[in-house]
Amino acid sequence: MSLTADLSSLDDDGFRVSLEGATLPDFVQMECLAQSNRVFRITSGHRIGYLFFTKGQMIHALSGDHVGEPAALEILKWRDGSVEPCNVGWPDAPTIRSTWQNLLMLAAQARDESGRHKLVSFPGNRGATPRSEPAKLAKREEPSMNAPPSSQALSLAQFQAFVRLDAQGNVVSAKGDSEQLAPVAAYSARLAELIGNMLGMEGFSSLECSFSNERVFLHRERSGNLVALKVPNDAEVGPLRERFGI
Amino acid sequence: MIAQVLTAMRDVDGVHGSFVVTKTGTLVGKDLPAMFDDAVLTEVGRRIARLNEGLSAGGQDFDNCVMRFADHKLYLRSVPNGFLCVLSTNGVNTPALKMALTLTSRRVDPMIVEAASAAPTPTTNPPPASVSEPPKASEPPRRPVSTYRGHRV
Repeated sequence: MSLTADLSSLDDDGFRVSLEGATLPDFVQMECLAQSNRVFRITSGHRIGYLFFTKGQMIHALSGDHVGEPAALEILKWRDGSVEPCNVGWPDAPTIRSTWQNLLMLAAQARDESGRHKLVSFPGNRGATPRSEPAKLAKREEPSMNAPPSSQALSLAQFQAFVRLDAQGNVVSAKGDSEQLAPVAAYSARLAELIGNMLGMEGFSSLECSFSNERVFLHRERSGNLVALKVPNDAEVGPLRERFGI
Repeated sequence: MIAQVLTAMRDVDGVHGSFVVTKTGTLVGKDLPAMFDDAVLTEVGRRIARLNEGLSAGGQDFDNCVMRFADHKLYLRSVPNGFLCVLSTNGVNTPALKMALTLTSRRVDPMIVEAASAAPTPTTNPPPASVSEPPKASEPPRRPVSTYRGHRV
């Protein structure tokens, strides 16, 4: 996170600061302790948000989808970007009632729960109905070729094995017992495609196979990569099914 | 007889039809439109058997398998003597389908052994697009067979 405070338009004196490696919670803490009365534009990738500070509290926030506390919590989850002061209209009344300390704690808790690993945006399933919250969550983080697909409810620790293969069958990323899973996944996906073609069903997308103690998921990404997951039977797989369209 | 039992699957909205194969992939019954001929379903049955073998690395058959395609789904329910296979749209009512699968598979399973013993040995050649081993160098090259939507043309 790069924090730049160009105060020339607001104050006549003061430093112009550029801090590499700072985090948004650090910045919020700094502004609130300084009792500042300012608005900051937060930019992270293509996302833009605004944080409003008055008398040592964050009293308002705006993001693409939210206003008030939800917006503040969303912005505080962003991991990189830049901060700059700006002049935008203040709200008629505060939209955030929580103290900044409480907001930071909530943001940290949300990060702990959902941010142990990166979320991966999967391509939308053809024919699937648009989804609201899971899709939004997926968009918030950049796709990672080295991370397994995951969701709010399914953590990395729940995957017994994970592997992502490219179109040629090369392992792009893996976790757990991928040596066994990779050939099984590649062979099974090919058979599923052949079965579909013979029955007049084009466009193999996903497969879920359940055994007495585990489940295997296969998903063909738009890029042609194949994702395979093995999870125990008692794992919460609803979000995965939704994402894979099964 | 199996076909008669399978008609119950089509009570569920979105189900196109169903068929039953043994654990080795032999087709023993179907309730599908005529365009799905026995030769195609026989080859599909073989591949379902291979899919089961491939996925069940521990030697244990899968219980259920769902394949999603662009517009359709294929459900496979393993029963002691074979697999009940159901073709549906993607928008099929899943809970209703699972209930129908459970009820139908109970009724179908006892019939599979008898039907398999009565079923003629399939003589069709597998289509060219397969994951089987390529022909040996000493063998004459196979003439490619063109297919459209699973049917030879």
